[in-house]
Amino acid sequence: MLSFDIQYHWQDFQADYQAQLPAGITSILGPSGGGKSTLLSLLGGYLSGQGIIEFSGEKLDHLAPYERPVSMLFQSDNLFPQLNVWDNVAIGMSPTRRLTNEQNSKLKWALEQTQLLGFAQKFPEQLSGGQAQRVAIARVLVRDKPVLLLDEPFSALDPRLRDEMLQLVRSLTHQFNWTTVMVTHAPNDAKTLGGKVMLVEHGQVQALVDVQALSTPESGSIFTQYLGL
Amino acid sequence: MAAFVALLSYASPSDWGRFIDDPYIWRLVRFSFLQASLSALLSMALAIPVASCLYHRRFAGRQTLLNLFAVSMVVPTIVAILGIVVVYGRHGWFTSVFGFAFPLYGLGGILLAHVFFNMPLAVRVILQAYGLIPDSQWRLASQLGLSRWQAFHLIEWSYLKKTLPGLFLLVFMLCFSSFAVVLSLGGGPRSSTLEVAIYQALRFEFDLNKASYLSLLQVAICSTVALAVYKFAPAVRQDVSVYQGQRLPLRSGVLPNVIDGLSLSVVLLWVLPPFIAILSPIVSPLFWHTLQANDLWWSVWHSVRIALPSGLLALVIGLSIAALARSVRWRSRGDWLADKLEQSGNLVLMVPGLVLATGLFLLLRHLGIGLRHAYWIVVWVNAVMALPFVLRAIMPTLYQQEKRYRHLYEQLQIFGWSRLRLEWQQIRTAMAQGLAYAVLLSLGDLGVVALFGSKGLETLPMYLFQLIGSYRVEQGGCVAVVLILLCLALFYGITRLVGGRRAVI
Amino acid sequence: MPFKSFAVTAAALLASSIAAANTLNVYTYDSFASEWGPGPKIKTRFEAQCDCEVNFVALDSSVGILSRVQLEGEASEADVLLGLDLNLMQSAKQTDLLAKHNVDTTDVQTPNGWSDEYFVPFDQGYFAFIYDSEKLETPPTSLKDVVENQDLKVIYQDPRTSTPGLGLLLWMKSVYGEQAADAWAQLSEHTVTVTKGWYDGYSLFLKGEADVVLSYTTSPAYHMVAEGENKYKAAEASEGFYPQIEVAAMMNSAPNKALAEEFMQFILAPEFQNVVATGNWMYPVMNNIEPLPEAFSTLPEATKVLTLPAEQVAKQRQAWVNEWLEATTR
Repeated sequence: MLSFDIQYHWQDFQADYQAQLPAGITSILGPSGGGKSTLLSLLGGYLSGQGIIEFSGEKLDHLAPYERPVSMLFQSDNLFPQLNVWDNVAIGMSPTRRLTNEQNSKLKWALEQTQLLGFAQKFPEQLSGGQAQRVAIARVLVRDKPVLLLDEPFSALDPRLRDEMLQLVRSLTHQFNWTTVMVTHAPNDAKTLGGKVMLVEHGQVQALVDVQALSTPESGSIFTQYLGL
Repeated sequence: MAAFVALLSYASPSDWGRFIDDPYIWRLVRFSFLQASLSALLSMALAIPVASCLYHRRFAGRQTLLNLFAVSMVVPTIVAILGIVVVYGRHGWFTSVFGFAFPLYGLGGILLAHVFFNMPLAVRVILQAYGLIPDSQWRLASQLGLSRWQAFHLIEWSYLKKTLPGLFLLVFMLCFSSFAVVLSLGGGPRSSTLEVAIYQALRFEFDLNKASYLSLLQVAICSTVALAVYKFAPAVRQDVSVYQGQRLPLRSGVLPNVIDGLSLSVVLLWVLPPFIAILSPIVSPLFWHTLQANDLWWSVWHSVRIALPSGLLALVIGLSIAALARSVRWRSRGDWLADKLEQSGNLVLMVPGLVLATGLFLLLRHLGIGLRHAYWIVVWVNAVMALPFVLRAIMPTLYQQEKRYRHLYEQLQIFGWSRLRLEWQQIRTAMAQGLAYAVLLSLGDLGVVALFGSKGLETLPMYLFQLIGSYRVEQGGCVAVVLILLCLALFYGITRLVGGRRAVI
Repeated sequence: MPFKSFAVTAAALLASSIAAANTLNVYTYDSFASEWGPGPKIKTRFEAQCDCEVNFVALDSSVGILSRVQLEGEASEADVLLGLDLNLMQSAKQTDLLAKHNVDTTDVQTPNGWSDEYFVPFDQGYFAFIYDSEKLETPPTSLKDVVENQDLKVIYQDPRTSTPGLGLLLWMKSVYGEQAADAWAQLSEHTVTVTKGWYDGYSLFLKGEADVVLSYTTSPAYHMVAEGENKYKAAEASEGFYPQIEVAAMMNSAPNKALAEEFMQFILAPEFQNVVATGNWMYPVMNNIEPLPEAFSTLPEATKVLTLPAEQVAKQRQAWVNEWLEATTR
């Protein structure tokens, strides 16, 4: 269970988020500028606000990003351009990149899962956008943190690739029992992922419901407004 | 360039044979090479941890320290030497603290002084390279829990190593042609540089032939070093990230704290005391007395009148070279041309200033341009001399902009002036830095203005040397304080005005 | 319109040529022209008698004066060069840029008198080692003392780059002759450092870096008169002192020859000579002047003066510099 009650002020933007997210997938929907990414950055520790963040009874709000049980994928810039694919994943397990045999095979397994085995020696600038994000996911796999935050990491990919990535995230989440939170502005992504869906607007959590609500929205609900139905 | 060629036209290479096997010259070359390499390595070895510490930590006095670092290289040599002597001399602070005298005269003293001049410069150049590291890398580092050392190794070093060869070369060349410092603190003629021989040939023997041979020798040696150094320069693997975020904590530990502490103490004990010694006349009544002299303010006016236009000119020339270089980079065979353009700026440093000025003098005489235009000549020569520093300040940023947005600009057909206006917010910090360096260098210049010296060009450094030349050493010290304060004010003003309020370094 | 602009141009040209006719360009070194140097007084006094303007062009050193006119050649705007010295005379003559003067120098009070057709001396002094009498109990009384006393910390200037340095080279040569090399080697054992120019060395000495520094016998007079400080003294030299004579010369190509000649005459006049003692801290070269300040009477007197012939100096200077280099880097 990931629960939070946090406030954040920046210039004239005021945010106040409260929610409790169960294990499994939660998609965050909402209009641009509504505070979706801000919430994710607060959870990841890249912004600091007031309030409480708890995961499985552990307080996170005073921890540095690296001390939180969290992996986060951004829209871009998830890789070090000066390291090749293998090293970019390896650094997720050991900052020195000196791996034990066990870690080595784990890395191999992660590359297999993300279909990157043939790319281990390539540098990020030689990869396509989808490949680069898969490398980042491989790193999430080896890091093995129970919380995964995704900030529209697949929005730049073509529909088929995007679908594949979403399927991958879904199956990994269930396989390892992660708590995955993904920001997106495509309701279909949320449907593909399943789980819960959260609407964030004006810096607040407006609704948190099962994803089926998107397919059969009650007339007059907040989602119908957002979906323009 | 032309100026140097003009001097060469006085050369008769057939006579050079007799210079080539002069053991005296080779002894000078050996010593110049030795002390310059050691000075450059030592400056860099100290500058790297100091820069890393200054980048990661915020503390009271940090900004003051950085500003002070900017002016270290314009402190007139004699003033710096006297400052160092106050601290490390026979009756200096070092002796009174430790009870024995620092072995100042010899290689030790030369290194001490050269590090004093160049380590701060190196720190600033390195910090500039740090500025190119995208915030997203720190975001990743923070997520992955890299320690300071690991972050240094992985992130900082990969940006640093692009800067270090050029930086080494810069410091190497500055030290290779160092003159007064080497003689004064060298402890005897065993420590003399090739520059001494060039000065001797040019001034005392008026042997233009020998002077041009020696300058060519100097250019040849520095070029060889340049070639060797650029061999180690790694390919540019620049990123295209534009993410800007806030500063995130890195995992700290005992070792980084110890290293930060150590490197800061080195600065505090090495660079700061001479500065304090140099600035100490500010509390003496003589300082206020000096301030009342009319001539002082005249010379301040003359200095500013030369330095500002000269700085602007240097920036314009530098920008043109940089714009040309970046427009050809990353195109077929363009990299080669871009490299050459970048390095052409360095040539100015290899040719001794006195030689350059003398060559220009001869050239102008040929063209029939009299000394009535001395003001413009001084402005121009100073601008050219500042070019290597300007290029170093603006090149990396301009390259980064090019790499990130080239396609956007090409697609929208935005070139030249309108592109510059669009880019301005991104590059103004670097531009300010380049301009400030050029202005400061011109302000501290003595060689050029002394050779072309005439009425209306009595600058602050000249005023200072007039005082010292008339036994008034203490009063000269006061004028040095004025010079440094003026430099600080100009540096601060320019970086704020041109660089905007976000200017960090 | 064209006529008007022509008239303006013509008027401007006329005005500038008039200004040129009345301007005397004097190339000198910086401290001579500075506000504490003799320059300003000499300018006022000469302008009072010539109805002209004196324009000092301040170069960085006496060698700087020579190399500037060498660079400019015949096109130089200089009328008079003020501030060359004994040892630069030969190379200055060889440039063929100088004109003979017709100043009567029979009353000139330099050692061995004065008879040079190109140069007129304007002040003189003697090289000497300066010490702090409060710190040094037994000061040297001869050049040999300075050379041989291994406990004495010495700073002197580089003969390759400075006038006093060259002076010491000649002083050593005239005292030690063939044994100069050994003497240099002995001196280098207790030399603190060898500086580029006079002021580098002298200011290091003032900061307490050495027991003695090479300068002029007249240096203590500055400290006495200007600072009221009596502790600095010039060491005696029983072998004799080596002189430094500063000279002026007229350019062949002087744009203003008549004024230049008038100025050359003026150099030996009391109005000029009275200024050099407390302006340049050197001795005047004429007797027709006001008595020197009290401080000058405390300075060591040069009862014995050593000189080497100018031709020999010009011919062998390079060899002697090499000898010095050999001996000190041995």
